[in-house]
Amino acid sequence: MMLKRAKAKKTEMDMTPMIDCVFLLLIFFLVATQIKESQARVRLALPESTEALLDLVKKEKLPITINIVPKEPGEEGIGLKPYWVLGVPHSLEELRPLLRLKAQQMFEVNQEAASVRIRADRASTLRQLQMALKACQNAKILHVLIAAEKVRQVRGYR
Amino acid sequence: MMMLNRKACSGSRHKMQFVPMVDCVFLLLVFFLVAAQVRPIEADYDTNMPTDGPGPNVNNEEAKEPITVWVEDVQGGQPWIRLGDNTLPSFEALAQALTDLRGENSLVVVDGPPQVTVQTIAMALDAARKADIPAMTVSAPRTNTTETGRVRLIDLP
Repeated sequence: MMLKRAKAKKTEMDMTPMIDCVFLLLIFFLVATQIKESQARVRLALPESTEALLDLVKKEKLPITINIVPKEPGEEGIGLKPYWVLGVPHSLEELRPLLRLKAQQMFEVNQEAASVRIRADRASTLRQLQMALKACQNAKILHVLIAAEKVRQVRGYR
Repeated sequence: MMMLNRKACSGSRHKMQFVPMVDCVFLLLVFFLVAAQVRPIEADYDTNMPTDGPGPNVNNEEAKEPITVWVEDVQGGQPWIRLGDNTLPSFEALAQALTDLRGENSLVVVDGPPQVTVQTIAMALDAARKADIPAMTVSAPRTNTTETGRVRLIDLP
């Protein structure tokens, strides 16, 4: 009795679904990614908020951004200069003339009053925020936005 | 007679190579995977200036009812919230109380000890927004930091 050898079947892998998945992922990232001009941004944990408003910052009138970084334990130097503008830390005494200069420059360029956006870390204090607002008032900057992270529910408090 | 080879006339078979295309697609995918950053959505409070100086919209003379909210951080617990003579149990209660007090020219002033955190201030501002108060601000800095602060007494109904 002759045994017939079964012919080895050729298996082919269909690549089409894999390419479909890869294209889907690619389209997702193409759509979701925003190429933005890189600004000197300080990494902060902004206060969480459910009621802060979106789209208050106008692209044609970008505000001066002041970042308030809280003092870390042991970082005495940074604690004295908690106000970061364009990636450079400043003390309150340095912030005041800087804001006056920036406000004047923006007025000369845009013929409009300058505005300020304060990005304060959630752990920074009311005092720091008050002094930043006072510095803006002294520089005759009267329009101020306080930044927050938009969330659906604030964690930690009820 | 020349036999026409149909097979030859039917056109040579071209096979498209998909491998380079898949390579390009993977490269693009890896680029976007690496370059993309997940960032939280940033929003803003449009606040007035502290009430002891010049500011837009509502100034001291026009604000008939500046409503002062005093907040203090309590370690490991709910912040202490005071509106007038009343201590409120939560920010939702604060929003409700502010809704009852709301007037046409109301200005909510969030006050507290100098070391209260901005997160707590933000929650008080949220309560003011929930109550549809048109203007809000934080208190002006005090020169004497040991002062406990004055609270405007509001006659609650």
